Order: sequence, then C-alpha cells, then structure tokens
Amino acid sequence: MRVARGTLLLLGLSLALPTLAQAEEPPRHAVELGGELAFARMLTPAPSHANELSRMNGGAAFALGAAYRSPFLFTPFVELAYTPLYASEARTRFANPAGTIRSSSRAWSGVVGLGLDLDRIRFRAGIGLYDFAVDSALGTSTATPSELDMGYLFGFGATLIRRGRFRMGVDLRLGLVTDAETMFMSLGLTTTFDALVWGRSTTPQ
Amino acid sequence: MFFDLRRAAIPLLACALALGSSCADRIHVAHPTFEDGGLLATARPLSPEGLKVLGGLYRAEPAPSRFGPNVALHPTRNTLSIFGDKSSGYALLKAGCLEDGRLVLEGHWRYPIDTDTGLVRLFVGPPPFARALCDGSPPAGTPSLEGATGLSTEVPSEPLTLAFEKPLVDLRGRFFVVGHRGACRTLDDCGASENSAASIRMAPSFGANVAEMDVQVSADGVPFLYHDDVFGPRLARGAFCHGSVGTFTFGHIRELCTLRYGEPVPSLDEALAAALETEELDALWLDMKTPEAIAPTAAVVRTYLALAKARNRSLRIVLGLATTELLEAYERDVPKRDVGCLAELDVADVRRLDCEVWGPRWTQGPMSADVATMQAEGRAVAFWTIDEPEYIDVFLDKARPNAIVTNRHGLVFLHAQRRGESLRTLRAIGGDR
Repeated sequence: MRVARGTLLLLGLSLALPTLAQAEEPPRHAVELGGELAFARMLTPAPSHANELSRMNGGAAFALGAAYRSPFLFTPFVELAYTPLYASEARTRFANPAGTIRSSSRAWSGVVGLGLDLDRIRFRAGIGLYDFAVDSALGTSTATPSELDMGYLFGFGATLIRRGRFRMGVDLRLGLVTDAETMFMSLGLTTTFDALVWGRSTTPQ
Repeated sequence: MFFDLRRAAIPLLACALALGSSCADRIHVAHPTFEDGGLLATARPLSPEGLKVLGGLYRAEPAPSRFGPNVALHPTRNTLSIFGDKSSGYALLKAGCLEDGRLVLEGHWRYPIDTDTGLVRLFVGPPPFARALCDGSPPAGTPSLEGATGLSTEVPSEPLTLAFEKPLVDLRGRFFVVGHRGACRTLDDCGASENSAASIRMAPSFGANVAEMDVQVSADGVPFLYHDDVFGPRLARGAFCHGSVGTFTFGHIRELCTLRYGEPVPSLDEALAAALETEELDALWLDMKTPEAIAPTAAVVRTYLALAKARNRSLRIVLGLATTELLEAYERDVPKRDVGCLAELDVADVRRLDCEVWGPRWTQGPMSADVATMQAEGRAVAFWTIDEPEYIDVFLDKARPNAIVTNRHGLVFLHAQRRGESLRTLRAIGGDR
C-alpha cells in the first residue's frame, strides 16, 4: 500500500514537472540557500561484525549549503554536512572483566565545489575537510577521538518541484574521506530557496 | 557548443569519482607457499645447531642470480635467511631432513622494494655433508646449496647454486643491525605489521640483532607500540580506529584497533616480553614519540631489565630521544639514569645526559671525527635510517659506526659481514662501559 502510494505520488510529480518547472522564467543569476535531509550509509570500510550485539550502519544525515547559479558552465557551491557513519555495541574481546563496548562514528564536513546543471539535473563534485569523530564507551571510560581529513563529495541531484524561488528535489551523494579510507553514500530530499536573484532574462527559457 | 561542454563534463566527473575511489586501494603482497606444504611437510626439521653450520658468505651462480653475485646465509633458531645485493632481495627458508637422506631448504624470496616474490627450494650438498647434519654429527668440508627459485606460486625452475666462501663473523659486541620498527615497516609487507610483537620475534631472521620500536602512551598512561600520532588506515584497521592516539585508553585501543596484518596493538609490556624471548636480539631502541611516555616506559623497562638479569639474558634497552622536549622529560623523569638513553641531537646532549648511544641522522653525513670522539668516550654511535647500498658502504667505511638503523636489515648485515673483523669492536652497549 505504501509502495503504491509512493509510486502514485512520484507519477503525479513527474506529470506536473514540466508545468511546475517551466511555470516561471528563471533568473540569470541567483544565490541559492538550501538544506537536505537524507539517509546515509557507510560503504567502506566493511566493519567486522564479530562480537557485535547490535549495529546501525548510517542514519539520518543533514546538510546546509549555498550555491551561486549563473549562465556560466559551473555552479560553485559550499556546504556543511553531518553524516552518521556506523554505530555498534559489541562484546569486549580483551577487557577483564568482560563487558560491552558501545561506539559510534560520524563526520562533519565543510566542502566547496562545482555543480553542473543540466535542466533539472545537477551533478556536483567538491573537495573539503571532514572532521571524523568517534564516541566510544568501555565500562566507565569513554574515548572521543577525532581527526581532520581531506575528502571529496560527488553528488547527483534532481529538481522535482519548482515554484517561485523555492525548489524541492532529491539528491544522491557519495562521500570519500581519503585519509580515513572511508566511503559513504546518502539519499535525501533537498529544499532550496533563491535568496538573491538578479539579471532576470526578458525571454522565457 | 555550450551544451556540448556540459555533456563533456559528465565523463570528467565520472573519472574524478573513479580516481577518488582508487586512493583507498593498497597493494598487498601475498607471500607464496608450496602446495601441500612442499617437501618440508614430511621432513624432519633440522636442529638450530645444524642450521648454524650452514651460515656463511656464499658465491651465487649462475650469474646473474636472483640475489646478486654474493649472498649471506644467516641462521637463526629455526630459519635460514639469504640476503643479497640485488634489489635488497632476501629469502626466508626452513630446513628439513628427508627420508632419503637429503637435506632440503624451502621458503619464499622477496624484493622489498617492489612486489616481486616467489618460492625457493634448495638442497644441501655434498650428500655426506647433508647426512652428517641430519644425523647431528659434525660435517666435514664445506656446504654447497643447489636448487631453484621461481616467480610467485610457480614451482621453482630458475637454477640457483650457492658455493660456500667463508664463515660469518659474529657481530655480537662488534656491530648492530637495527631493524627499523622490528622486522619491517608495514608498507614493506614482510608478513607482519611494524611495531607488533610478531615483528619483534621475526626481526633476527631479517638480519637484525636490535629492534627499534616506537613508543606512545594511552590516555590512561599505558605505554604501547605505534608510530603515528593518529590511528588510521595507514597502520591500523577498525571502523572506530581513528583519531589522536593520546585520546584512547589502552582498553579502547585493544577493542577498537588492530594492526594492518590483524595483530593486536601491543603494550610495551607485551613487546618487551616478546623481545626477552627472542634470544638473538641483543638490544632494543625504544623511540619515544611523546614526553608523557617516558616515565611509564622507564617503569616497564626497569621490570624487564631485572627479568633479563634474573635469566642471565644479555639485553640492553635504551630510550631514543629525538627532541629537546624528550631530553628534558628524560632528565626530569629518569633522574637516576637507571634506564639508558640514546640522544639523537647534538653530541653535547649525549654528554650532558651521559647517554650510552648517540644516534645522528644519516643526512648529516658520516661525521667521522664526532663518531670517533663518542666512541673514545665509550659510547656507541648508531646512524638512522640507511637503506641504500652505496650509503651503507660509505657510512661503514668512513664513519665506522657501531650500528645502522635500516629497513633493509639483510643488506646491512651482508655489507657488515663483508667487512668482517675490520668492524670496530663495541665498547659501549654490551661492552665494558
């Protein structure tokens, strides 16, 4: 039932897209502000599941960003994001007395890059810093190490709804934190708002 | 035109994605083994005394051989190693007596400068010599080894003959081959992770009689072996094994991290226990990575020096001090100087702290006059870290140090053996200082 409802919704959106997307003439220059709510999942490294009592790969991620849309080839963007990576509770292997260890990892990132808009589709590639942080509780002791690594972002987004200065869409992204040899992906919903527009064209596009 | 450019950008982005993912790849060298255990599967292991008889400098034929024109055969408790000049090649062999009276050596060879590796099978001759060794009686004459080497897992087919030239010089009390981070660095893929207990046990079979190890300290004050300031995939594995080493308790380190070859990160206590059992190791160089590690390290070292003394085991341990902060911490935290030191900076620091060893970086040049002065004061001199054959020769001949820290242990062993008796006798470590 849920699948059918979702399919109908997507079908309706698709039929409405040409009307919604072309209803208004887009400005030649715009500064977009936007946010994304997504579900993320860590792809590598493959964690060892030995001794695990419970685990959660990924979770709810979010991002806030700004982009400059122009008639030029690329759309520069900047983005801050939070991505949960992996969490588990496992039986200890070495601790005496034996117990459990609860750990989780996440990445905060600041990325700059370029987007490429093809009609309603946007490809993005960026480079930035990832603050790779871990929380781990073993008995009464906790460890909260973190490290700053360089990383990359590759994204593929589609605008589903455009009304006035607002757009809504979906975004599939891949994050690579090279020094940590960690890769993750996320799929989410995006909302953007043209906070600043200028140079509106006189002919419809 | 504008649209075409945009279309061209898509494959460019795809390429960037592919390039990005390849950054995480890492070459791993698999060490080959004989199918079904080879001939050794049914052989009786040769005794350590028998292996010792096979040690020596040998001429390799036919030229050019896998290991170069001359090699050293270096026996340890259960391994006979071949060290050659060519590409710093080495082989690690086990020996076994077959039912038909032959004595076979089997194992693998490797060039640590690349990924080349393969199998080795050699037979000891002449037959009466081999039979005597297997019977445990003293053999007459000199040995020769005949067999073949191969590439990867192929059955060895490239002929190799080793003809005995002269016996090895006992380097003990004369020269130290210092194994950088144990048997090898992790990136050299010798079969164990650097700074692991396994690497310490393996170090002598690679030609080292001293193991250099890196000491960090955990958030709860436990000294342990690890080189970098942060845990990460370069040296360790674990989904949660990321971040500054000093923010982890040792319990967290053990639960969350393993070294690249899967070994646990060893505490200093475990590392010294492994070194104490490895009788071919004469000394340990503990390269201190942080001043906070000095006091807890000195406490563990005192325990093991006492244990070594109780077992009548000659094992010297020095703390390597590479920065002024470390020198100050040593001065403050080891006031009685009951744990020896190795200062890597100026000779004045060595004298001020009365360190047993001066450890200059090789890039400063041979510094022959300073080396001679330090040795005249009864101190040892250990240059770090020399891997190139031409520089090994220059330093052995011009500086005449007591030790060289190296990632090419076998190469330094071979070049030191060629100088034999002309190496300076040590007065410091293990000597009469």
